[in-house]
Amino acid sequence: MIVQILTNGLVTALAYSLIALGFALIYRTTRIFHFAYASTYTVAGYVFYTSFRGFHLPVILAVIITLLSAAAFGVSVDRLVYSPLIRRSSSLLLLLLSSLALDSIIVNFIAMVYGNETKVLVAGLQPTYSMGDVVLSRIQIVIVCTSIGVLGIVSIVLFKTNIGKIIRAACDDSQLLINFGVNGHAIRLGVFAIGSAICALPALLVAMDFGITPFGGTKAMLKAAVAVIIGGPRIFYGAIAGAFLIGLLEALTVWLLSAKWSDLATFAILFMFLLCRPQGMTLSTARVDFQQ
Amino acid sequence: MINYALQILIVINLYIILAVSLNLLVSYLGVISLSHAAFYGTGAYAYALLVTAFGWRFIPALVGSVGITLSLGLLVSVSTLRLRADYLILTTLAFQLVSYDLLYNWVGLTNGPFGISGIPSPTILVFKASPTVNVFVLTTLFAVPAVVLTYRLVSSPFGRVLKAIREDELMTTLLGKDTARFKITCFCVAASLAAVAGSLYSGFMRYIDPTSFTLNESVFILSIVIIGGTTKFSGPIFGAILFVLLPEVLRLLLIPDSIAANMRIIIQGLIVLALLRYRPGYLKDLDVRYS
Repeated sequence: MIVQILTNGLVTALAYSLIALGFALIYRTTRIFHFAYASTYTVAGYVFYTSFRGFHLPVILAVIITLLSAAAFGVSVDRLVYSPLIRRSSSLLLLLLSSLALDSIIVNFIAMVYGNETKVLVAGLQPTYSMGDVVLSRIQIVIVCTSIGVLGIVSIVLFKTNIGKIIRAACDDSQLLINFGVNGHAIRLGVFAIGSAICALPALLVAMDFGITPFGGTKAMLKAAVAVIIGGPRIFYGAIAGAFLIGLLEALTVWLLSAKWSDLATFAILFMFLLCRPQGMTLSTARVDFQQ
Repeated sequence: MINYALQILIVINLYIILAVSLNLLVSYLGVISLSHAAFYGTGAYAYALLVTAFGWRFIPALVGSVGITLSLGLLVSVSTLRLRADYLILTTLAFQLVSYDLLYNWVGLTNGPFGISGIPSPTILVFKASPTVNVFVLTTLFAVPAVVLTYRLVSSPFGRVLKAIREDELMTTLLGKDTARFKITCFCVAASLAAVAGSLYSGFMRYIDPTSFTLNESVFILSIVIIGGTTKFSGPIFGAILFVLLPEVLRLLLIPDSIAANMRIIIQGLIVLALLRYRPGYLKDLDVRYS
């Protein structure tokens, strides 16, 4: 029983780690608290729903369309909403507010077009496979394989290539990087495109597993944000460590208490980290940002 | 017809209380809080439970509800004292979602999704607030003092310290002000006023359920404050009037109820986005050196 619970927790954790990684890429490099990431997640789910169920496209094609449109969505949010504000040197607080407003517009627009109810993509029970004591559904296996694959690719790009070096440098000090002659706009463009595309994958996988609602993105984005914050400032390890802590803790909550309290566990751990260890878990010391 | 107009006026009164209290945090302390609906809801539920389960009368129940919400505000403000802008917003957002989950899932206390019904109309001595006119008088009797109180607060030395904290917290500390105490007090005043609005809401609706206190509600109150602007004290009052009337206007335009709710939020979002984009001076007090 406990093995099955932990396995389910690990599958969820892998999905969370992808969402958190995309959020970390955007948040750590641009410092924008990208609330509209929630609507990227929702838009990806509904694009997949429309192309897969509405137009009956083959799965591969629908996945590609979803990834591309999520990336396009992320980039256009940056271009149309954030960039004009940044050019006027607005504070990050105003960027956050506009992100929040944008998110509520998009989510309610989707709710208006598709309705508030849950849309089911795959009807009926899915085939399951058992390995010893553990039973996994087909979609769970797909989630595990895709997540490990994407995490592998992203880690290679981040740590072995020049682009990755630039992204990691932008996390430390993007202004300094621009002073060294690196194109700041290109970094923003790339980070928004990659971050949004990464979040589209778990969005459509979770949509196939549980169905989609217009309001599901907010919780996904919040868990990603919590994972990134409790994980600490390291862009890759921080996001993954935070996501695994949240995923496993949720599984334990479901087992020990009840499924309805699993969100509470996430936020309880956020409160604890902010009170006792605001620098996150992957860094031993932190620079004190008294006021920003 | 007159009843319909009075009901709208009552709702405007409630949102004026909510907006001026949130405005204390947003415009004066420079803190964006997404948990105002949580305080509002806590106040409403505390009042409803005290009245229905313990049979308390209006005034003691109101005081009790303010006390409970105040302690919650104390908890939130103390635990968020050291946080910067985006972490602070995330925490208030988390707090909002947690309190909604509690209202929805803690069936033993709050009756979960079914809500609490049969809340009696507020009665003070012999004055019974059962016709709509009397409820309107009652809410006005609370809305006007709430506006006066917050106005006095922000134009007093206390308010000047709040603005100083917004501009530069470190500098204010160096000037010998106990910034933590000011922040906590400001949070507690805002939470108590939200509790007053919540109690009045319970007494007016006589039935409450968790769906009135969602994240959307918090965003709604915040957009009232934002649209009112942060440079004038009276801004949120006009914002409240405008945004409460908006769905009624949509109804006059014969937009079906099924999409009117979503339409309302979309219009609000568009207004806020346009303000941020084209009228930044409107919010210049929020645009302090934070980059």
